[in-house]
Amino acid sequence: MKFILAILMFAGAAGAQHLYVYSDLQTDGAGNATATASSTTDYNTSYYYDLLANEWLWFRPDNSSSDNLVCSQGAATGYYNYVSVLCSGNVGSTSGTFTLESYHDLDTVYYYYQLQPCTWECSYYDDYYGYSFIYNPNYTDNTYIYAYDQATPIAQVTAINASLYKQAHQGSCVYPTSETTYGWGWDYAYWPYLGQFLQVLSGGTFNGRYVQEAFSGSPSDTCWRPQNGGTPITSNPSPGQWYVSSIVGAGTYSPYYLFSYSNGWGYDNLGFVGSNGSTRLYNYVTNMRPSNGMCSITYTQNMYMFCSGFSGAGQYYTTYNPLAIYIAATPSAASLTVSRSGTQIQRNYP
Amino acid sequence: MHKRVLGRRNWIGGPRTALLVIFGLLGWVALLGAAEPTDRPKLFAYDLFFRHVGESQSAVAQTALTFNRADFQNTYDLSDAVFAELVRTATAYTAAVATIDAKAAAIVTSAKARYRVSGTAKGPSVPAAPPELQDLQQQKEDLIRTTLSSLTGSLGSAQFAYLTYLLMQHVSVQPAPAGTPQ
Repeated sequence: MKFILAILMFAGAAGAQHLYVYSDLQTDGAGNATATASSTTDYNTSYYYDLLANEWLWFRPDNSSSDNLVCSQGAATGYYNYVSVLCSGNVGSTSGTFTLESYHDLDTVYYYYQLQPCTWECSYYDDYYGYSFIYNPNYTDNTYIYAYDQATPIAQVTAINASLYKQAHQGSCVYPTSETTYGWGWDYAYWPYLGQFLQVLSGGTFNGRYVQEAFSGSPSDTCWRPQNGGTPITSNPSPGQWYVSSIVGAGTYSPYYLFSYSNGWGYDNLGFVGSNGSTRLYNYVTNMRPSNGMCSITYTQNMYMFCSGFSGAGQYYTTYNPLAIYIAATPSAASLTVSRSGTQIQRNYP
Repeated sequence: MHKRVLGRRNWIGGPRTALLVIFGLLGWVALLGAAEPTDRPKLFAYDLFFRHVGESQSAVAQTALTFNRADFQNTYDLSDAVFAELVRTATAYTAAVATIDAKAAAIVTSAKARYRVSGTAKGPSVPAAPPELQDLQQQKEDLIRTTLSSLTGSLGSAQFAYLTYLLMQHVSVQPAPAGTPQ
């Protein structure tokens, strides 16, 4: 162990060990797809670890909820600092999405030895990096205590993993024709004045696709008054991105239980979060104009779906979604209402 | 209750341990003077990239429809001329690095075949990686740097920077443990 300590300290200083991975998915629009995944590391690391790479190439036809395996390939090398796998297939002219998943490992299989006899307590001896110190089964040290030839090796694996994920679409993409918004409730666990909405898309099967919001124009804030301090809300939030899939859950608003096998996404949140948000809401309620007792903050949201993956080409499937936060306050009561595309949820304040 | 006793016995204390710890600390002192090159992710990314391009040019790859040149060029935004230059560079690189790889593989293969559990020898401890591997690693990284310098000259620094930007979108770097694998 002393040697191990010193060597490992030196090895640590000799340069950090890394796993470097790469993948490439090529399609030709005529059904052919080729997937490549490769891994490498430095020579010093390959002295102690083994490289592995595995890849799966899937194809999901548009309007389908399931992936079909196009090809897969795995490879391992115990003696080299580079490994590459490649597979290809043809899916015909069907429109759909290819997905390449590759998993890359930097492994070492090492052993610890259970030394017999094991009457009152069991003792172990570790072999690090897969290098054998006691070379099963010829364990001869300490035969005074441990019987000769009684070391049982038990394999252990330590690994560094990396994965890559790529998508490409074949054929023209299908986009939702409409979207239904469900008011789901308030995020009582974390931010009780943050409303949550769930959406279900129509017009096809969109599981595995990504949607992203964008905003038109600037928000309107009629709640701010000079005595609130700070500034009114004048900028839109950072755009959110969501993965479309099946959704299931219990909400506090009708329909109290929502189950959709596909095409769901969410939550789209609207309301106040954080200490700054809490302070702003408190000030808006406290300093409400006494003349009408109501004010609002509104945004205009547009929803975009990508053809494949979470960036690149796609199209807007809804535009000018109204998002609104309404605050009503009288000297004796206050309420908060958030609205997405006309679907509202409401609660009292505080 | 199982205890790991034997493998950890007497590992602290004594002048021999002190010497070994000093030896280990020297490694960290060396680290302070010779930090890991900051361009390593780029070097390894191009190593993988050149191998991929080089392998794709084999006759088998082209006849078996395993390389879609048009899509590849589109992915990396490569003109025909730049693609041709990239293929020439990658082919030369893979041929040159094969020699260094072979030397390294011989060392690694020999050690693993000898000392691993299925091997024939019992090691007194984890064998330290031989200095030759460090030298070969240095040779390989120098080769990549030279190749990239040449490619930069051929493509121009702006095109090369753009290619590097696109390439790094396809690469992931994961740190491995520096210590004991357990």
